[in-house]
Amino acid sequence: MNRREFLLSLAATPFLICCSPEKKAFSGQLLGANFKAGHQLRSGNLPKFSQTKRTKVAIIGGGISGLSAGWYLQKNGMADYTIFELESEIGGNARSGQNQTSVYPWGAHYLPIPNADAHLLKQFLAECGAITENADSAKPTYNERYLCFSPEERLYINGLWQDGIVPNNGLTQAEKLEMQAFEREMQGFSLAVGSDGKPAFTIPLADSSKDPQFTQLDKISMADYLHSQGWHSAPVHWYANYACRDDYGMHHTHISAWAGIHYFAARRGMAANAENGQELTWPQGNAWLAAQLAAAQTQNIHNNAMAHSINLERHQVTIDVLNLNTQQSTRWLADHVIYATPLHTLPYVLRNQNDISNAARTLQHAPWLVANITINQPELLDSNQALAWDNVIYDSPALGYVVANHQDVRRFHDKSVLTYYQSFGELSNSQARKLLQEKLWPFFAENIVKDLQKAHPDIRQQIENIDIWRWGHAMIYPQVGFLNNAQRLLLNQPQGRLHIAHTDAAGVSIFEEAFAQGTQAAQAILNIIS
Amino acid sequence: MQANFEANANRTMRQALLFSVFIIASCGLVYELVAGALSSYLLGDSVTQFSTVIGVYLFAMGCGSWASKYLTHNLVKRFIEIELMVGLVGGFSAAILFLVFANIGYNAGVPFQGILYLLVFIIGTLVGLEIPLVMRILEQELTLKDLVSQVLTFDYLGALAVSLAFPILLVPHLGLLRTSLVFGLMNVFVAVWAVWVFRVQLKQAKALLVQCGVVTLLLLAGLVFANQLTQFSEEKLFDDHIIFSKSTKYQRIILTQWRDDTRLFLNGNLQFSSRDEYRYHEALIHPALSAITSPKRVLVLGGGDGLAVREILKYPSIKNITLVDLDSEMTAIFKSNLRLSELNQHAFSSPKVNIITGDAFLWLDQHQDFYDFIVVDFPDPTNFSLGKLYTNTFYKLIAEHLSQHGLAVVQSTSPLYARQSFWCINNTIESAGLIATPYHTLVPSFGEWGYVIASHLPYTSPKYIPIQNLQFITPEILPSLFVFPLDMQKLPSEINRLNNQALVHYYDAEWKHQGP
Repeated sequence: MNRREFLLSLAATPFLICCSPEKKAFSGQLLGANFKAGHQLRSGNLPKFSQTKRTKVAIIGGGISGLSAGWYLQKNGMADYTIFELESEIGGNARSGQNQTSVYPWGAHYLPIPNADAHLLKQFLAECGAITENADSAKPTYNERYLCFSPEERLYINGLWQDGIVPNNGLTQAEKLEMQAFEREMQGFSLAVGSDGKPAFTIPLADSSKDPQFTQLDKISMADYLHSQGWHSAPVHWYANYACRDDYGMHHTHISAWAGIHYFAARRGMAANAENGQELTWPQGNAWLAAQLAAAQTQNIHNNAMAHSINLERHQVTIDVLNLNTQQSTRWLADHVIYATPLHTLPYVLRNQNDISNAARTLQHAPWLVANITINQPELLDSNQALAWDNVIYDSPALGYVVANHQDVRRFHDKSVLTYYQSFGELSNSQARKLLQEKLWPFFAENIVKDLQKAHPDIRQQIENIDIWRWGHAMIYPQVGFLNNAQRLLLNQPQGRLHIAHTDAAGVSIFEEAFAQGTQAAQAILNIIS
Repeated sequence: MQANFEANANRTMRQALLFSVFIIASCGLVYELVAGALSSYLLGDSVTQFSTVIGVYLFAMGCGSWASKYLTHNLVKRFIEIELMVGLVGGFSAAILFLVFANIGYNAGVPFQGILYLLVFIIGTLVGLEIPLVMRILEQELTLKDLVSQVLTFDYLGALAVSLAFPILLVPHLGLLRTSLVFGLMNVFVAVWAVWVFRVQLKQAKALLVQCGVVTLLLLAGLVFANQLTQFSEEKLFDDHIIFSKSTKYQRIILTQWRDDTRLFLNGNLQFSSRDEYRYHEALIHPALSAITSPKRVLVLGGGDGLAVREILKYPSIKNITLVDLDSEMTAIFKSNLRLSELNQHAFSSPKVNIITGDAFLWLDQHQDFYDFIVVDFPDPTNFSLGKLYTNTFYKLIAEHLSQHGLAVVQSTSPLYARQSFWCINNTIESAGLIATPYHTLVPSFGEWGYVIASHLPYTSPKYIPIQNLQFITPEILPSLFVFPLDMQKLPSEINRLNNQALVHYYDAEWKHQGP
């Protein structure tokens, strides 16, 4: 722009403002988990069973935990089991959607390269082609279609996009030093080994060292931990807080410092053909992993099937399952049941075992909102740094957006789907859930556009559709003291014929924990049976 | 002398002189702005151009003010002469700069800048003389307090008026050339007015008026011929005529023609010059294709200009050529445009050629066929979307589509200007399980250029080339293409992967240091 154009543009500004076209209309809808079924469960207004069936193992829930349990049973030659999934589709938090532009995630959307000792997980990844060579080695070769394409992350901060999400652009020297000190400290934790010889932080978190010098970090919040280290600057707090909001859905003032550090220090996965800790991702997110887990056991999965009554008896378990389409209940008789569903439902379903129900009642879940935004001309989002997979805005209450079709090998895309994530750390859980229940689509859509406009002032013109998914009880979050919380530990104990397998019991909602929960419950049952 | 003025200096005269201060100040600033704008326009980097022009100009004005003390006699006459000189030099300044630049051109930025600053210095010095002279002429008329106040007020008012008028009215409506000429006339007008006001005191009023007349005529002539002058300079400046330009969904295509040289630019990057593209395309095709026994099926990825296909069609054994290009507009104009289809010898009209519009990566993913010869001719890896087409994943796909005895050739940027990038491509091809055979040649419009042959079996350069009428490649020179001098020798590099885009980073770093 030369001076003349500049002056003319100044002169023209008021004109443009008064005459700009009306806010461009885009379509969209508000979606969510099956509220109706949930309501029916709470009301207890359920039909009595009309038939009886048998299965050796009943798995309640077709999310990652339940599917992992089934996958493990099948793998070990045990085919007599049934998975009951309330929704019309499997996946739980890893479910996905699709439109003409792309498939896209409705929840979890990546898996970091697993640690060297995650043998079972690596075995699964090799089975489904995500690992192509040397699954048993410390540095397997991963399928490069699934390793996150470069550029991976960018952060919009102080008016510019920067490479990576560790704040850097526009920071003062003192802030940069503090950022570096924080990263060094996390690196130290990543390599640390406790007095019991176990890594200080690992996945699944139950395998981490019990050395008090690390576990005592569970007694303070992540925010307090930072202050105790003398780190008070905004960027360091933003970064740690972002990690807590992103992985746990809650502000770092509420998250256990042990869990906050776990985010940075528990991942040491290596690959022959990727940098340490790089992510595996798919256009549909972890729904790809869910589909791979389900591939060999589709016969065992019942959709639209709500388990509404579990009775633990001496010699068997009875599970009443309502077919949501026919509204008929079936009584299933099983030797064992794996409960792989968010545990806040447990008190409504479990007819005995009050102590377990009471423990489940103490769990706190963070609500989330996920939006899939179809835009045209995605190249307009490039700016000073090319559009990355994960794009985060520093001054935003949300978590930024991931480009669903980032793993597409094509050079150009006419359209893209941006998957936008928001947790509600600034509100109480009940306030946030109320908001999600009461507000309508225009409210959420408008807030999303306004948020994105901070980094992309003209994005409204590009938006064609915004679909929004409300997750009322998206995931557990590790509060201060969660690690040795007696109720949580109780939920991890086998309860006779009842086996709980869910990240709610793990305390942290990530794929690896779900996989570990599911496969461990399956192994426990196999041990009992044999 | 000054005593003489005193008697005649009346209120009107004083106002007239103050008004001329206003005009003088306007003119002075206009010449400065013209020089700044013109040098930014011609040389770019407006911050530097404006800063240096203003700096030199202000310094020159200081010199003028300082020199004014040496003018002690005939102040009015001197003032009038200076006005005429400013009018002449300032008025023609834009025209002079245009012509000088057009004749020296971009290749000689330094001489042009020398003339620019000299001109700015001359005008600045003359303008620097004006105000001190006016103040001294009015010295007897006003107290120092009023004199400074009034003269400087009009000086700054004139500057304000012009700085506002320049971008809003003058440049848009008159253009730089006419603006400076018109203000030159205003300097002459001030001179004429001064002659008239001081006609009684001036001994050579008539001679001065004649001088005014001559300068006026020159400036008017300049105005009349301003259009021709601009056109003449611009033709000199942009001597390549744009014969086609189109923004497609994917890129901006520009074709230029200068005498017998046709050039294709995609997004501003030169793709070929018709003068030496035969070197590029013969070197791309023949080292590999002539080494294949009886090649039949060929795949060309990119190469929407059809020039590679032209070379391939020279082999009679070839049954079919599949060309996959992203941009249907490219292939369309290279098929239908007379001049362009002559360039590729109507390659796209051959019944052997099957043009597919599509993304090369996706197409390879979705098709199974084997080819004896595959040409990978994409633009350089300037961004991440192009970088994908140089990854090990892409080359693995190439390997899957390459027959056992087949050869693929990859356009691999310059091993001289982007040495690390070139070897990164070579090493990435090797990492995909193919044998890489790098070579290079000189394409004058590009510089030293590189290619890599990729194959399942080792490549040996042929002793015999089965076709006639090549302009560049002969069996004798072939072995020399595979020799890399010290400054282009192999470097270790990362493997370019979808998840690191190492090549785009290398390329970016290397070409940043070259640049025109």
